[in-house]
Amino acid sequence: MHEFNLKMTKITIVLTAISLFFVMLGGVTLLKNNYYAKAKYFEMQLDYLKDRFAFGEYSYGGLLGWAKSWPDKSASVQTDSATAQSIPILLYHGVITTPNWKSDGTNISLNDFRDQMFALKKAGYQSITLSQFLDFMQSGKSLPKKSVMITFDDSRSDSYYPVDPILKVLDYNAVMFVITGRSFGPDNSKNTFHLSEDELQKMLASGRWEMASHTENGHGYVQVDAAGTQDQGHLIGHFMSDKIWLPDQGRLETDAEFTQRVSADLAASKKDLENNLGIKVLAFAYPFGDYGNDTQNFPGSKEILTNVTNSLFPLAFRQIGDNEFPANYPGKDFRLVKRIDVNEDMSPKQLLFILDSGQEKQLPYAETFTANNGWLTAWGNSELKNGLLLTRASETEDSSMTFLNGTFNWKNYTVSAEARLLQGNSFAAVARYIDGSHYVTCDFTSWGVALSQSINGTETVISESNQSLELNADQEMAVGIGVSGNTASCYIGTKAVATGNISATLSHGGIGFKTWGSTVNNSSLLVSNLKVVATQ
Amino acid sequence: MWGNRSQALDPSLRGLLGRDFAVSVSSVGWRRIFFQLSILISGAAIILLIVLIKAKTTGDFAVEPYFFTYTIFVTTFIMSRMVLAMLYKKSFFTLTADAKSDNQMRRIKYEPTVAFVIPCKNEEVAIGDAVIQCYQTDYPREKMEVIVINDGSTDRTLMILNELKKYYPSLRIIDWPNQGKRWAMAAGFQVSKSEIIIQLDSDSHVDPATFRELIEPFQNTKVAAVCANGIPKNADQNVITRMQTAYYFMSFEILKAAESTLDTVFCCSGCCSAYRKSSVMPILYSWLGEKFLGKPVTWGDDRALTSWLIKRGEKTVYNSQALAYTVVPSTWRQLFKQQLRWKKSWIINACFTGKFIWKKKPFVAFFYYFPLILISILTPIMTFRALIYTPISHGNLPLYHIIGIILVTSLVVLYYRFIDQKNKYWPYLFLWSFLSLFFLSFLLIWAVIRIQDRGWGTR
Repeated sequence: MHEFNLKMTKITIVLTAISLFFVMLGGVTLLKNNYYAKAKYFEMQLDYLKDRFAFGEYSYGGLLGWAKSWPDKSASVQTDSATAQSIPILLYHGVITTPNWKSDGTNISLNDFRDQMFALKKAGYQSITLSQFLDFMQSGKSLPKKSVMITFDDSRSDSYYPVDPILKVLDYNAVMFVITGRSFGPDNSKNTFHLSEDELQKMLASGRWEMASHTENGHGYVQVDAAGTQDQGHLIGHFMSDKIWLPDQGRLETDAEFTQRVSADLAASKKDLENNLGIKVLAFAYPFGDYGNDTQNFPGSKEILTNVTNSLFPLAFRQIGDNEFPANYPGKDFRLVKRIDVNEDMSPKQLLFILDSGQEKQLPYAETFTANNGWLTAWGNSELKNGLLLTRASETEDSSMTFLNGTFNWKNYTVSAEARLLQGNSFAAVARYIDGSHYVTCDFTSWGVALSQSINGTETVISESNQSLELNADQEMAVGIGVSGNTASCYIGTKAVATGNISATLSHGGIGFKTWGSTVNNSSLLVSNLKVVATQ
Repeated sequence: MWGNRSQALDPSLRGLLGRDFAVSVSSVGWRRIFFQLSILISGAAIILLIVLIKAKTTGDFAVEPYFFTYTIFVTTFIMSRMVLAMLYKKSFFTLTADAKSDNQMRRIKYEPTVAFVIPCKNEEVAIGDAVIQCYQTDYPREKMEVIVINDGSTDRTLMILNELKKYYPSLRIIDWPNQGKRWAMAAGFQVSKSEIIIQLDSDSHVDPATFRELIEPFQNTKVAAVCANGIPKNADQNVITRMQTAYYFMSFEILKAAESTLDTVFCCSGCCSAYRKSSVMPILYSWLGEKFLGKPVTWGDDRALTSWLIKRGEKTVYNSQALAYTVVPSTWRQLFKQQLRWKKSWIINACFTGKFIWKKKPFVAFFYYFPLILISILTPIMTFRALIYTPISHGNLPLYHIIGIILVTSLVVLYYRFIDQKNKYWPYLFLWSFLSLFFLSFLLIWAVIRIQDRGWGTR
């Protein structure tokens, strides 16, 4: 009996040991790569509770607010029936949780990101998806007035784990631009900085995230000359917009080679997303925001890139320049989309200012310059002071330009204002402002008034008045500019002094003011009493 | 016959479900059942946590395949040992079941002649009590011998013994100049006429009430040695003794029980073990003349004697029902000395046992003994790596290593609580496990270095 029992014991223990060993081995291997077994996942659940509490406190205050915030999703349904004229898009990179982190001009701290998101929610903004945006841009399908799109570049882990709980609390969604070569494939199994395929799947499954392309391996620097010129520790060329120097052949790529290279990379990134995630890829974002505008050695890249991206993706994303209206307006140029690059240096107040002031302004319009209704600096400096708008050239520029956000779609109107040139040679009232290279101006100088237009950055005079003016730094001068159809006029007081026909390219656009001096940092203008009335 | 069968089922159930299960069922011990259920659930949770921790820390199978395998191997071994311990009751029951029913049928009461052998040197304080306790046992006097070997005491030990002889005329006193404990023990074996020899330390005694339990297993004729369940007498003296009480509980109720399941207890502890004289006599002189690296071995007699019996292919078992009380060191210095001695004898014995065990008991060798030796050697290395090397070279704190140790200890503690809910020393097992890992495991290295120092050290 005992010997038999001993035999059974031996069998039992061998089986137990083997199964224990393999259960543990299997368990470890399984859990190792399991999304839900990661400490990050648990932290995310905790973060959700924390964020929910923080939001309750932010919107209602105290514990009571927390309780109130639970059924808050109904609040996101907008009662305002007005529809959006334009959509602003926010661009973020990493959201940093490290304490005592110093701003780097790219990333944002979690606290500031949370504050910005809460501020957006409280102000009534709701996030939209890529396809909603595409429909809006392409066919003008209506969206709620306060719509915004939130995007993240580079598929970094730290733009998902701290962010997702906040999105969940606010019922927001976001778009992740994935550098597919850094997320998919066995080479990335150790890469925790970038999100893995599994994580991207989980993000998609949450319904809060969409994925789009940010190249396969095209988010890098390349050699563009024989010397291999470097700046700040890296090569100066961009993979997407520069021809690569081929050292063994001692030459640059040909146009065909460049096209082949970038289209292969973009096609691969699209395929990566389609095959691994089973999604339709609606968008692409240019690395470094460089769509050929920042090329070192190949000005033709812009056109090639436009063609290549247009053939692969319905939408291409870039970053806005200073002299552009921050939001996106539907129309024929819908494919190249502007994004506001948000980082640590932007406060929630500033962000809301940009978004709120982008809401379409109604005519007639009068300005007291007490609170900033959307005056943005295209170049130079501008500020509001004691009920006046001051615009002046900076230390490196001879001119300055300021324009009013939310006026992009204005068409036929007459602007009247009182202006006083403090320094410099001339100032201008600007109309039909589309961006820093497309606008109509009335230049007021000591020798007279000139009506000009700027197209693609080239300024041409249309009409002039040679009646000399006294530009008195102590005395306001009533000036004006009127646009109606393709006719533009310059006014002194109520009298039109120059009139002419402008290009059809400038069929709409906003208002602004410009200064010019013959030397740098030597032109400034005070504007008051601004009125804009609609004309036929 | 029916009654017999129900008895036969009982202990196997106990083996699986814990010591007091049978009692609790009769009185519907819901609290007990709830307690055990919660222990089982916590056990599962801890295993899950262990796996989680391993998943977290050994992200690096490709980077550290050895460490990865080591941790899983160690955990598997510890858990298997607990499973073995769980099978102990059943194994122990079957050990004598055949002989018992045979004896019952023939209406024979198993009552062999027994001899208590107590070697002592300068034990004037304890010896009197030790002898009296022997005579307290519930056993026919005519079948019992008590032999005390006075190994050259310089105090009043002999005087006390002579005084005792007046009360217990059957007490045999061997008085000779100091020869060492091993020789004293051997003298006991030679002088005695009994079938079963009980070796006692002078500061230990068998619980008179459970004495027969120590003899019971010898009904199986293949059993050569039985180890009693050692319990510290001075448990509540201080934190050192409480800690050792927890350790003793684990060491007997889990480790020795596990070994006993395989009929091979590697060390029938010196504080109280019983031997079959006919099995010991053939190897007595080999044991007596044991040398290591040319020098006689002065300690570890118990472990060596057990090994010689195992070498003969005999069974050595443990009976958790036979209680023996002993004194444990109460100062760090004493504890350190004792542990150093034990480590040294462990090393010497491992060299000896390793040579034959795979031939004599291949299963035990490959599934228990060699893994145990491997782990004992690797533990100080891995502990050094986790606590000193990695923190210095990589700058990360050994947080997960310590959590892992706590979790594995928790698992052992859970089983500890499962076996005996009333034993209150379990929290001290955590203390012991830290002491053991951070200090005692390194002592093994020191023991290797000092192996040729065969001094006894002060006791």
